[in-house]
Amino acid sequence: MEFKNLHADIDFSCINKGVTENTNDVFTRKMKSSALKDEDFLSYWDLGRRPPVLEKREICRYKGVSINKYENDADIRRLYNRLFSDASKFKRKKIRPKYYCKLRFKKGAGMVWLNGNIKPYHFTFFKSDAFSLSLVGEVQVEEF
Amino acid sequence: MTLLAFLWSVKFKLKNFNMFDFAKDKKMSSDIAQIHSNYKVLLYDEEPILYVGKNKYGGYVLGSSIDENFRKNIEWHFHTLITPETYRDFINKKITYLEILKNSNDLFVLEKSFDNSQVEIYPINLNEIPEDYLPTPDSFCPDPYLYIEKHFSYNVQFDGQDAADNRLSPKAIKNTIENYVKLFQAPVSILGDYFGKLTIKPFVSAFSHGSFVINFDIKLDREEQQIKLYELYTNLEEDISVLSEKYYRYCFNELPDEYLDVISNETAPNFDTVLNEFKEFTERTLSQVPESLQKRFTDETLKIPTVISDLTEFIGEGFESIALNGMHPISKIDTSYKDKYEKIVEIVENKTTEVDRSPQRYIAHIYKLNVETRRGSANVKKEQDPESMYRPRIFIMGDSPLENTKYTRSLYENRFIEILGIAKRRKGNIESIDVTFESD
Repeated sequence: MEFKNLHADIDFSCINKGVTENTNDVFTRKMKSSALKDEDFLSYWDLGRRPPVLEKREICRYKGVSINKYENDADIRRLYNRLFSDASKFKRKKIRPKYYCKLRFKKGAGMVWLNGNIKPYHFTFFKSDAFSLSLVGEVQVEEF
Repeated sequence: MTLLAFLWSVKFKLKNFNMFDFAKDKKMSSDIAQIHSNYKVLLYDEEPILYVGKNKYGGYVLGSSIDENFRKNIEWHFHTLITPETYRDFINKKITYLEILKNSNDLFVLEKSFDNSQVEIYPINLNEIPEDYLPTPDSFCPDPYLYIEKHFSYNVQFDGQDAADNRLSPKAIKNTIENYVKLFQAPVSILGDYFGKLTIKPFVSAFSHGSFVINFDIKLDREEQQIKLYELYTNLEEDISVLSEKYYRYCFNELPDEYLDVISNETAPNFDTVLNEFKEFTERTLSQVPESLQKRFTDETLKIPTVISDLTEFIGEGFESIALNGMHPISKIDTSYKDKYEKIVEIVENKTTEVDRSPQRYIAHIYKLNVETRRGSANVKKEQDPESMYRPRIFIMGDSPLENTKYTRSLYENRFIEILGIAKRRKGNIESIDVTFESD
């Protein structure tokens, strides 16, 4: 699995110890509409945004997309609602998400980086060079 | 930028996001409000919402996302300069983000392009900010350890007096290192037996140039070495470092107010919160909460005030305060802590110990003595077994000078002497002796 696109404009690797391929677990991703589209996997870096301080951890975070490990609907809804509730205390113009999907990555889609130790665990997903929606399987969209 | 990303951003450019108007004639050229290093995200939801860092001059900057304009590729942030004390109070949930902004004399709006190529900073007054852009009254800091890089290192910074001239007495340095190592060991002692006799190996790194700072690096170690630590639990060291820092934070900031409740088995909510974090950790890693955990946690925690009281021993003699910093600032102790902890230790001793009814004679070797505070430590022969020792703290009463007395001779000449004093015992062990001063 190659990550040349991911590393094209940086001189270090985001694929370090602890970043692994995971085709077993179900993950969730918040979505902008009721149908999963390519744009739902655009990272902040893809959109031209850069972290305020160019530290490696933050650059890698911006180059991936946020996902959570799915265990059950109640936990994931509780998490997303709590995240929105917490975030909107500080950023009053935060937009409430409307949809999320459950999915499972297929072989070659990319790798996941665990960087949040509360349940349901938060991961950052790094797209491989071969990534496309055809490598995202078992998609099931849920509405909040 | 790929074609897809371009098309997506065009879609957002069709929407018109409005930021509140603010005066742009006061644009600032100084970069004092910009984060230069030590950037830490305190709340993350698809993007950094709340964060902290240091500016170029070493001062803390606390910031939050306000809004974005996808048509112009611009984003806005509140930034405010904060002291280490305010940072600690915010992390400890004593003040809200709204209160920090309200009390700030250094509040700014940062306007920057998405790619950081253009950054403008505008000082702003709170009354210029519409109410629906202000943080809410319950804007307490979320868990500050969720999104940051974990480490098991600390620095201890001395301030004031000789420390400001980059020097300290060897006794003060030795006392500080010994007692902080005891503190760092405490949470690992609580968990140690459940993970193959886990312990710590502390290292003190070279003092930083230009300031009086002692750096500690803590490594976890297992006595049962058949399997390496990281093979058992991938994130064990990271998780224990977060748990430990939350524990130290509790010990310095909340335990003093709850100590009597803890020792009396009364309700102590902050104690329970930290204990529950330990329970959740063992449940996550061991799939069970060991029955002995609560007792181990309580027993270790009850020892902490003595350690912190000992840490304060040299405050006022060469330095005025000691700050402990880890992943976030943890504590700052000064002379007020000294008085507070001495009182706690005294109250606890009186509550839980048996006290001699009248002064008794003991055979003691004083191995530590501060002639100014008249406090120290001694090896005291056990009555039934003179080959074994108690190791109580001692306090020599009165105000007669201690130089050239049997007490300082015991210290400097390593000899046993006879002392007269009232001992306080807990579970048969002499923990302290108030010594009646006797001239030669």
